[in-house]
Amino acid sequence: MTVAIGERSASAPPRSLRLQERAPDEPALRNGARDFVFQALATFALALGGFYLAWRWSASLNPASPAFSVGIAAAETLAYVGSVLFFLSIWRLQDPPLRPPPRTVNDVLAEPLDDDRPLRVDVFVTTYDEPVELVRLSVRDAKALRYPHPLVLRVHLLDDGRRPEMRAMAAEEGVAYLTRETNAGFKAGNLRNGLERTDGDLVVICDADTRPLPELLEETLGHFRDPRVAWVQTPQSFYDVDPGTPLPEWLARRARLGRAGRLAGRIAERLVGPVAVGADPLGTDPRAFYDVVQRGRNWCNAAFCCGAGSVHRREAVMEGALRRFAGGVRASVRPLAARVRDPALREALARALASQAARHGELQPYTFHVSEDIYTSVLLHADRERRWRSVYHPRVLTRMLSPQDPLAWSIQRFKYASGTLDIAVRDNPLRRRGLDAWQKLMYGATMYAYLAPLWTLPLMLAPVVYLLLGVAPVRAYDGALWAHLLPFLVASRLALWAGTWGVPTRRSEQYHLAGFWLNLRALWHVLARRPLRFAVTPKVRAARRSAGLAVPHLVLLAAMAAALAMGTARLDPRAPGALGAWAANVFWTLHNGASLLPFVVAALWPRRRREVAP
Amino acid sequence: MLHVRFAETNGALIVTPLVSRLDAGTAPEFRATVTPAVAGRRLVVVSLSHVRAVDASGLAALVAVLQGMAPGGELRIAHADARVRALLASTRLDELFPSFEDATSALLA
Repeated sequence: MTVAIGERSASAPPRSLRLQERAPDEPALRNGARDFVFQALATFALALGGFYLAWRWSASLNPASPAFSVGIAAAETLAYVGSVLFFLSIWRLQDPPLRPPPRTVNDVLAEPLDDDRPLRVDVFVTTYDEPVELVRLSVRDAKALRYPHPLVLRVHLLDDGRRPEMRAMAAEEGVAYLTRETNAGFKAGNLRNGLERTDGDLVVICDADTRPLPELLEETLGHFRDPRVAWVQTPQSFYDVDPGTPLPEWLARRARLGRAGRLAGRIAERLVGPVAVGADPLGTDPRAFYDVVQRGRNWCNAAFCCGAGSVHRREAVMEGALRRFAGGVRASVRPLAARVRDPALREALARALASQAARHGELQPYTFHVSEDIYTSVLLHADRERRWRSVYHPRVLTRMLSPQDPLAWSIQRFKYASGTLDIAVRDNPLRRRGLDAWQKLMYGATMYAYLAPLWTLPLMLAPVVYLLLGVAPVRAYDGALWAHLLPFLVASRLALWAGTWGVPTRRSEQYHLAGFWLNLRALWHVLARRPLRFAVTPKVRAARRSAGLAVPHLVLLAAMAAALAMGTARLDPRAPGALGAWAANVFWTLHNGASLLPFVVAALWPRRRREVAP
Repeated sequence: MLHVRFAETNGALIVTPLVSRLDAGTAPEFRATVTPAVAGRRLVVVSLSHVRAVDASGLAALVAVLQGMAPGGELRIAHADARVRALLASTRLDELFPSFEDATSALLA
């Protein structure tokens, strides 16, 4: 379909709110004060952490259990490195300056055309097995995109499922339907097929369930006035995340405490701000990632593409693909040709080999990989000839469905984790020339975060081992330990608070622990060089229960319960230091157990939520 | 409709797109028109005598054309101006697509 959108008022209208469910969150406010307070607290916390670790390695190792003690100290050190990377990666949050939407194509080009024309924009809605009516919503919203200047907008339904009913729906909606014989390259291959058969200057990528808001183009295209900008990523926002029950309401009704409960809830909310019980049980709300992590990458040009909800400059993507393609051909020809001494013969051989290699090469605008979005971002950021820029635009301009149940959640998270770790193992951005130090740090922080179970699991097990067996990872739970550890914990908590001000992080922290098994499996999968499957995250709720997913968590919880019982039974309050040691280990065990609980509850008792349907 | 002129000389095919830009706007049709015509060919010369500008999508179409030729086949470019040559060099495709002054010299090389 082609819509020539006429001239309209350029004044940006307020955000339209015609989608059902909750309104998208405005990005949390940022300013220099936030950065300064956070940086001061983070520096302080990291200094205290360094001080603690120096003491930990030099004065606190337990000679009675050297291996255990060193193992836990190593896990603490890895966790500390994680904090350093995380704090550095959110050091400065910066939003890109808003620029007016370009009028014509020449506004976004470095070398203007002789015959200027309106911009051409293609919207790609990719689908594989999602229900027709779900995809129809996305297609309809894509058709309703607004723009203040004349624009050639074409919506394309890219169906890798080759379904007649999808084709029929595209015809009903008046949009183009593109499909292909194979599924080579999965989503990246599907996108390539779209690029080969369309002509937009800019391309909007939507998943099957991505519903753009009408102002997506009005707000984001201005960034392309900088001809070095290759893509703009907007936050992904789930319109179906359970908002939970406000605490006063929950205490009054669900906990049956009546008015007293409501009053207690109100007082609590006065003190700590709004509390919603049972909100976002799967921790899928991606605000902490987008509002903090991606925003922290704008200033050093390291915001990466996350697929859906992004706008791309076709020329950047295609040119990058050509350069990599040609590089691959060269790399396969060079070693063979180099063996030939005669220059004329060598050139002839090189040409013959090159065309042979080119036949088998694949042009990959989006790298054929399960994490094609982040991989392609690394490659474009590292393009030393073009120095492409990326922009993270902080306002929510598309909305989509969250993973519907623990199974879908696990499939999606496993895909993210194994994809990122696979890039780290096979083609590590840290070794890539062309990325600067800050870009490497940002990509490094992302990869490192997926190694978390290497330290979270030992740190969850340490108090269990102590309570069960009485083996301690430290020489003594005494005043010296608290004097070194507590200031660090308090300071880093304050720094985290300041760094993520206004963004809910409780679920992310819980799932940082609860994701241990999934991340461990992903790590094992990649290290064993098993092939990565491209699993499509199910968009409809699975009928079966997902209790099996929680088995490792249940085992760990059982061990924790046994440890609490055993440690309490064995407690001799009169022994010096015993009470403090017991209290500390009980505290950490309860804290860790509480972090595992939401996932276990979600897996064992999947909640029936309203299906999101038109 | 995109016009392309085909000419055959000693088994080689000379392809001349009659457009001023071989870019995202014309590449899909160029690809669809030319790829079937080059099947089994060992030498194809793409003459850019009418073309003033080529972009990455245009070059991607040339890659698709090359991939549709006979194994070991060669695609040469004639009449590429300085900007096209610069793009070929910057994408490093200049080794794969050797470029020549005109079709005659491309055929003789």
